[in-house]
Amino acid sequence: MSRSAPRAWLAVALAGWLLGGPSGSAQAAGDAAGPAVHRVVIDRFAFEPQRLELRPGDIVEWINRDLAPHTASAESGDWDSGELSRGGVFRQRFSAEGTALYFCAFHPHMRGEITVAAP
Amino acid sequence: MSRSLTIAAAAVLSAFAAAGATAEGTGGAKAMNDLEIAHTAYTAGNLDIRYAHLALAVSENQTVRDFAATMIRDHSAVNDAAVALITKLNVTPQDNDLSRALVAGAVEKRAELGGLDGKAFDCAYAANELGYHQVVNQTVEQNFIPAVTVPELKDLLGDALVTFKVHEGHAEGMVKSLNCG
Repeated sequence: MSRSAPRAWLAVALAGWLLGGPSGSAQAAGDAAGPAVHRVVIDRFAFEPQRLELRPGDIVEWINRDLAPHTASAESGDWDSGELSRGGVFRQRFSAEGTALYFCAFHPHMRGEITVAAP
Repeated sequence: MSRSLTIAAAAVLSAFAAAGATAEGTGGAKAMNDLEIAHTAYTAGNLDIRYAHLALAVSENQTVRDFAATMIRDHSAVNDAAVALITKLNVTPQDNDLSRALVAGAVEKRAELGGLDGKAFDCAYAANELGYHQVVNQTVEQNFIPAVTVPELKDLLGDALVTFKVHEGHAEGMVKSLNCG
């Protein structure tokens, strides 16, 4: 194995952690050392909070508390959690400014909104 | 309420009406215990999953197909949680008169639905889903949850009821959107 291989693996692993990483590892929001992580709880067939305002680079973490499976799916199709069973976690990083609308693909009345704006 | 909906609801209601009394031990009937309530709740979910599989096999209406897929997904999740709980508690749900009545009623309903296709099927399926969820939800909320004694089962039924009430709302929207008259 070349010397660069472990570094490449580490880079891939780190990117995976940031974009859709392991559950239970949410970083506290507002940490000056890195992007803030904002948690959205899916409970009783609703996204809570329904609206979020972020800084570019922040991460949103969804966790499903319902018995029923849900998704967090961008209307634009740019990102999708896939099926989240109870306790399932999905993370998505938001870099570009703008507003992203999303919904649950299984229960489309469930809707949320994320606005990204520079300070 | 349409005639078909009334009939659909009545078929299930007749079984649940008796249980409404027995779950609380009124009317001189023997009260259902936790294991019987668990069995009936699980059975009701399984029957709705079977209705949904029939809908996916027969219907070409996207609204109906989406609803059916949601029923399979959500009721499977609820029943998986029920299995996890009974495994944890190391108990066995008990078959009972209400579960048997529900199964018998579902056999008749599936036979009726199986003879339909096109819009007639879609309307009959949608009406049955609305009536079924209305009656099941009422029974779970007013009879089963107050009657159960094991806190974890009470919590599970409460969580399930949240899901079933959303289904009832979806079914109501499906009935309206199909313009069944």
